[in-house]
Amino acid sequence: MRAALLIASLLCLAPAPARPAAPKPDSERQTQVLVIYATRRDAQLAVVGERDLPRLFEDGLDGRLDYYTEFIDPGRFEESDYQEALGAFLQKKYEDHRFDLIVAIGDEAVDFVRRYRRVFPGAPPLVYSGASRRLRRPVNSTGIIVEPNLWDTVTLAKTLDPQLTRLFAVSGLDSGPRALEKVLREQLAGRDPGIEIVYLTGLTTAALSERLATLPPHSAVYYLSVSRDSAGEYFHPLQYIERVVAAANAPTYSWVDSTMGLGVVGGSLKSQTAQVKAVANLGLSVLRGQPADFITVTVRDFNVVQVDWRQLQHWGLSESRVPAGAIVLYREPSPWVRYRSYVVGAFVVLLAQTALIAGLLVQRRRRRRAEDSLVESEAQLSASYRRIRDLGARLLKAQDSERSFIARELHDDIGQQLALIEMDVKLLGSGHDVDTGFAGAILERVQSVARSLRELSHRLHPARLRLIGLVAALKGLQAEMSHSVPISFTHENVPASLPAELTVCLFRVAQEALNNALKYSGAVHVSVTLTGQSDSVALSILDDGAGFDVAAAWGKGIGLATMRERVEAIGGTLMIHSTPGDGTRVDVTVPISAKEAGAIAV
Amino acid sequence: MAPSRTVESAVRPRVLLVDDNAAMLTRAAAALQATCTIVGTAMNGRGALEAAHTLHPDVIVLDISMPDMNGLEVAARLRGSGSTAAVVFLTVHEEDEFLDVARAAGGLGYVIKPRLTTDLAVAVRETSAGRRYGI
Repeated sequence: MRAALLIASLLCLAPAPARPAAPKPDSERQTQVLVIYATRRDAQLAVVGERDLPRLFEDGLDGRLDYYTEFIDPGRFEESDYQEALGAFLQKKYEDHRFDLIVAIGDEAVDFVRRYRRVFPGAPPLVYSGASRRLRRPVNSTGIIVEPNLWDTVTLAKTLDPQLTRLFAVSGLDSGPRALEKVLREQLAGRDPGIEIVYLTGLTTAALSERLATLPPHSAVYYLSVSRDSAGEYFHPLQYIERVVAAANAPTYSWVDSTMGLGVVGGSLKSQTAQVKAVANLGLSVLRGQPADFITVTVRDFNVVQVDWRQLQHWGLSESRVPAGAIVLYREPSPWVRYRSYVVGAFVVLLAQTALIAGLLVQRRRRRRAEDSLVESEAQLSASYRRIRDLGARLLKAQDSERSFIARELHDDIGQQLALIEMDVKLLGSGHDVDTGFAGAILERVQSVARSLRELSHRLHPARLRLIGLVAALKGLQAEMSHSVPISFTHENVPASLPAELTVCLFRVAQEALNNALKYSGAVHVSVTLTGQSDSVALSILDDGAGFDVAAAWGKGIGLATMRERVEAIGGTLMIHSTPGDGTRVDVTVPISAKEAGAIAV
Repeated sequence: MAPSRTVESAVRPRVLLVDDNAAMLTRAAAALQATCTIVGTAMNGRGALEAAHTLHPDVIVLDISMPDMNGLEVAARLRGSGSTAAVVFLTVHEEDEFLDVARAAGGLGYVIKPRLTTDLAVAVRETSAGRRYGI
């Protein structure tokens, strides 16, 4: 029925006017090549051939190629008169063509050309790729025999899974698949693969799926080819394999490389690219003038063991069992390889963050310290402020009492005496009689006034300190104050010239300390020591008196506080060690420059 | 004894008077007039150094308390500059420690001001002859 329709349509084409073919000289004429595939148009071998053959021929012929293709597709067109009709159709189709070469791919294409070569004008030479060694070689032809190598896949399956016990070979009803099954049986004949081969041929797709889903443990599937099932449905063999893979509960193997990536574990796979290339090379040899019959037909094996890495993982097959030299495809990069840049990036970011956090922590700690020290400084400042205010108040009080003392001294003592002198001198000048001692009395009174003034002046500021220096002034102080209690004074390495503020400071401290010792301590002996050092001068005043509570004494009176203020004002330190009942020691150290330290006082 | 001192000057010493108080200078001059030649007066330490340098007196009567440079320092500088004049300190300071320092500064005589009228002429005479007085 199908064939009859085809023939009718061909006859409709027949009356079409012939193309006016302008004969061209041989040198300019394009090389005409017709390729006839035994398969359907979308079979994988045809797809690879149509992709590669025109390019390979064009490259070999410098582009002067006129290329045609036909597909026999005997799996779907089985009628006995179909091929004859096809021959008639092609005769009509190509009556104006003069092919330089016919290429036949597949045994049935070779047989077709042998039978219908006469329809092509000039009986062009034939180059072919067959599958069976039994294929009869047509005249004026050459080719290659590429037998499906089905055995190697069986051994691969056993190699990858040593525990494998059954291999289920799946094939369909059409001639091609049946031929494959036959080849497998032949190749297994007389060999022991160590496993049982179970043929699942010509089942309905539903039955096959059910069977494949319940395979016993240690099984595998060997997909040969299915283009039609027993329900009469047609399939593309490469689409059918996806059904098989989806249904099977065991790994699926194959024998041709076009199945790779469709879910099969792999196999010893025929390379269709290599096969097509070998055919093209033969064709080019013939086109270049080599008589086809002179070229030997050879049996070629284009098989390469290939495995799909993802399927190895999926079925738990160890990659270490894959034979050496096998091609492992679709290997997924390890997480490290895949995410290396992210991992490194993340690590760098992490490091940067860590550094940042560390930096912030350090910063925070510094700030806290700074804040602590600020609080401390503020406390010190505030204490210092209170002390100064307190001291200021006490100084004002002291100044007042000092002024009142001076005023009293000037008025009550010196003023009174001067008034007496004035009266006496007036009396003397008035001519009144005075006794002989009168002038002597005036002189005595004048001397007394002078003495009072000198003492007052000295009290206000020791002039001799400025004039005669610290050591001499301290000697004077020692002499002045040694009346009731003996005071010893020793000095050592004291610089000859010291800044005035330093000598005043040390003198006043000594004066105050001695005053305190003599007034309050009841000491039996007091000693003063003045020692020059390389960068300082130290003054110590010791007594063996009653001692006092130093901490309690700071807040009272003006003496101790003034001493400390004086010493600290010129950068020195004042230490007072005293325990009630155990004497007192006052230590003062004030800094001096190297220049001052150089000259020693006599 | 300085070799430059002449016989005449030993009889009537040439004296430089230094004091920051004009009345005191007048009083001192009056006390010395009979026995000495007053070659000059100065009212501060710096002036004293200049006058001593140009006038070459036999004796310098030197006050201690002066505003710019005290007499002790003037005496020390004079000695440092090679002056041969005898120095007599005329001061109100009676304390012993002043005597020590005055001696150390090169003073040959020491007279306290209340005794000016009675002691100064003697001190100048003694020191001009190379002898100490009151020190």
